[in-house]
Amino acid sequence: MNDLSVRKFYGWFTMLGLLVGVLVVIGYYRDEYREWKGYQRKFIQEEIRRASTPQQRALAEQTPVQIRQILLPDLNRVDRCTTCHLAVEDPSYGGYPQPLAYHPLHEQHPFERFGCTVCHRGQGRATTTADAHGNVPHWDQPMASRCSRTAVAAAVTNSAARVASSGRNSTRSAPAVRRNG
Amino acid sequence: MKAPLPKRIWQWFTRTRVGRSIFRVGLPESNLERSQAMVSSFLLHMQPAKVNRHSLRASYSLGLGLISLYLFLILIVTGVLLMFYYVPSTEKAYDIMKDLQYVVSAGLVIRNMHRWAAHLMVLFVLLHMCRVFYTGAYKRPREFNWVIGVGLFLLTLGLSFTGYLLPWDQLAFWAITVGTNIAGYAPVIGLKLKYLLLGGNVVGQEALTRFYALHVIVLPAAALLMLAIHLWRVRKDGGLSRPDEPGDIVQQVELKQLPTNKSYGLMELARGTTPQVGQNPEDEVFSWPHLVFRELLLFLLVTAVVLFLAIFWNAPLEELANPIHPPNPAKAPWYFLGLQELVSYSAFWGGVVVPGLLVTLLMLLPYLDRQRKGVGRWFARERVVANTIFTVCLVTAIVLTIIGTLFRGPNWGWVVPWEQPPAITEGH
Amino acid sequence: MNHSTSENKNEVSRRSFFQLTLGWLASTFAVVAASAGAVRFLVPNVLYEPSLRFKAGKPDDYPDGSVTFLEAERVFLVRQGNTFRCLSAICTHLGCTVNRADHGYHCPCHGSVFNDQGNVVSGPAPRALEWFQITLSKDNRLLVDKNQRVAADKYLVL
Repeated sequence: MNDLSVRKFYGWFTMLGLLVGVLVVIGYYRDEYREWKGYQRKFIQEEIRRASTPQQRALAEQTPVQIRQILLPDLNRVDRCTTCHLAVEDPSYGGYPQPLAYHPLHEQHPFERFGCTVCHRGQGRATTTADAHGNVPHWDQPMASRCSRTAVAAAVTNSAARVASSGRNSTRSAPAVRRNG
Repeated sequence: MKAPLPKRIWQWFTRTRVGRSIFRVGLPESNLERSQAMVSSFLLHMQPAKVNRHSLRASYSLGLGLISLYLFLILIVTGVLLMFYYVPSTEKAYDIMKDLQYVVSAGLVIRNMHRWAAHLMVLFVLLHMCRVFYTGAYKRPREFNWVIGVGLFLLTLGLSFTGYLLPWDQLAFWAITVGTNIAGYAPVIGLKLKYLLLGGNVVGQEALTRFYALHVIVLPAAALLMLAIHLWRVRKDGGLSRPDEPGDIVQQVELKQLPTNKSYGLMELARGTTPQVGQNPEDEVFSWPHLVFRELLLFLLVTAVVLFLAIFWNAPLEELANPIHPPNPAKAPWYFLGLQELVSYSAFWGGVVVPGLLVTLLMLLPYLDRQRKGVGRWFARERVVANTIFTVCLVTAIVLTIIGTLFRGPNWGWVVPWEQPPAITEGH
Repeated sequence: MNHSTSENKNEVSRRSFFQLTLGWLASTFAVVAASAGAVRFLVPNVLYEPSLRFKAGKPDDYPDGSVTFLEAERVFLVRQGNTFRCLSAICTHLGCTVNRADHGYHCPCHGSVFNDQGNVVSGPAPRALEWFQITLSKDNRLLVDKNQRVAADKYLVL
C-alpha cells in the first residue's frame, strides 16, 4: 500500500501552501499601497517643508493619511476628490502642479456645500486618478477641468435651490453638508 | 528526523487537558485512533473511517464534487462579509458596490472572489454532473442522489441568478429583465411566477428585495440542506462509485466467508449498500490521512485559483441600472445564454419546452436507464448510446451558449466577433 | 495485518520535515493573514455620519460675547473678544444635550449643572464638559475638530 502514502504529496502541500501565502501577501500589498496615499504623503512632505514654526511642523506631521470625502446627501453624492486634491482651499498653493493646486473662486460655492462633481463632473466616489476623472468605460460623465459658465450657472442654481429648499441656514445652524475629515 | 514542529505542537496541545476536552482524539498514531479521529469529529464524521482505494483516484472523480463544495464555502464566507456593507436598495446598492471597490479595505478582492467563485461554481457543478453521468454513477443504488444533485444544480443556477441582480448596474438589471421574461413564457404559471419573483411587473425595488432574500437565506439554506443529504447519501449508497461494486442488493454475501480484520464493529453489516459489504478489506484505506490530506490539498488549490483570479481580474461593474436605456443587445448571464439563444428561435419551444424537457429527463434519467452495467468507469462501452445522447445534448448546449456569447450582437443579429467591436454588454 | 504504512512513530525523513513544516507555516500564515484581512475589511474607512471635523463658518458670524449652539454638531461656539472656543454640548452623565443657561449649562435629563468653564457644579455628571480643538482653516473659516480634546484654557486667538 505504499503507493497510497501521502508522503508523495508533501511537496505539493508545500507548494500550494506557499502559493496561497504568496497570493495573500500580494493581495495585501495591492490593497494597502494605494495611489492616493502616495499623493497624501507628498502633500504632507510639502507641508512639513513649508512649516515655519515648530507648531506648524507638528501639525503637519500629525496629518493623518486617510480618505477624505465631502458628503452631499442633498445632492445625492459623495465627493472624494479632496483625498488627493488636498490644497484646494489653501491660497498659498496657487500655481502648484495638480493635484496640489489651489482652487480659486470657491467663495461663492464653498466645497462643503457643493462638493466638486456638481460642476466638474467625473466620478466622485472613486479614489484612483483615472476612475475619479471618469475617463473609464461605464462612466458617462468624464471630468471637465474647467467647466463652462452655463454648466456652472445651471449646476449652482440647481444645487443652491435644492440646498435652500431643504431649509438649512448657513450661519446659525450647522453647515448644510458635512465634511468627513 | 523528528516530526515537523507544527505537528509536535499540535500533538502537545491535544494531550493537554483543554486539548483533550475539545479534540478527544489527538493526531492519530494507531489505526484505532485513525478511525476514531474520523468518527468522533463533527466536521469529519460525514466521511467514513475507511474508504475504498478507488475513491481516492483523482483521475476518476477529478475531485469535481469537492471543488464545488469548496467554492460554495468560499462563497458563503465572502458573501457574509459582503453583507456587512451591502444594502438591497435601488438607491444605495450601486454606490455601495463602488465603495467596496474604492474605499473598503480588501473590498475589491473580496467582491472579486465572490464573483469568480460564483461563476466557477456553476461551471464545476455542471462538470461534476457530467462526470457522474459518464461514469454511470447515477445507477442503482444512487438514483435518488442524482436527483438531489440535479436539484442542487438548479439551486446553484438560482443562487447565481439572484446574486447577479444585486450590484444594480446595467449588466445586472438587463440580465434579470431578460431572465425573468424567459421565465414568464412558461405555460399557465409563467406570468404568475414572474410576478411573484419580481414582486410586481417590473424589475425594481421589490425585485431587488426579493432577490436579496432568496440569495442570502432561502436558497443557501435549501442548498445546505440538500448538500447535507447529498453527502449523506454518498455514504449510505456505498461511497463513490467504482467498477467492482457488488451493486445489487439481491446478492447476499455470506459474511462468514470473507476475511475481515475489523477492529471495531461500527461498520460491519451483513447486507445493504454500505461500503463494507462484500468488499475486499485490502482495498480499504483509512480516511486519515489518505482521504483527508488529499482533500486539504484540493482546498488549497481551489483557494489559490480563486484568490489569483480575484487579485488580477476585476468583477465587472457597468453604469447604474437605467430602466429607460437598455443596452443592445441585452444578455442574460452566460449560463442562460444558450437558453436565450433558444428563446430567440421560439419563446415557447425554446424557452419552455426544451429546457423543461431537459430538466425533467435529467431528473428521471436514473429511472429510465435500465442498463445496469458500466458503473465506475469512464465512457464504458456498454453505455455508448447513453453517453452519445448526453454528449450531443451537452455539446449542443455549449454551442448555443457560445453563439449567444460571441456571435450575437445588436438586436440579436449575427455578428462575427473578430470583425466587429464586442457587444456593448458582455455577459460575465 | 493492517495495511497502512508503518512509519516510525513521529519520525519523518529530512525532506518531509522541511516540506511539512514549510507547508504548514505557509498555510497557517495564509489563514491568519486572511482572517486579519477579513477583520480589517469590517472596519469602516469612511463614515456616512456628520464629520467630526467641520467648519463652523466665519469668525465674524459670531458676535463678541456670544455662545452659539450648533445643533447638528452638538457643540457650543463661544466667542470672547478675539478668542474662540468650542465646548461639547453632550452631558458627561448619560449623553443628553445640555442647554445654555444665563451662566453655565444645565442638563435637562438629570439636572447636572456645569459652569462657564464646563466644570461640574452639581448633579450626577462625573466629568467636565469637553473642549474641542478649534483652529482657523486655510480659507479663514473656524475649523472644529472633535477628535482633538483640549484643555479648558486653550483657545483660538485671532
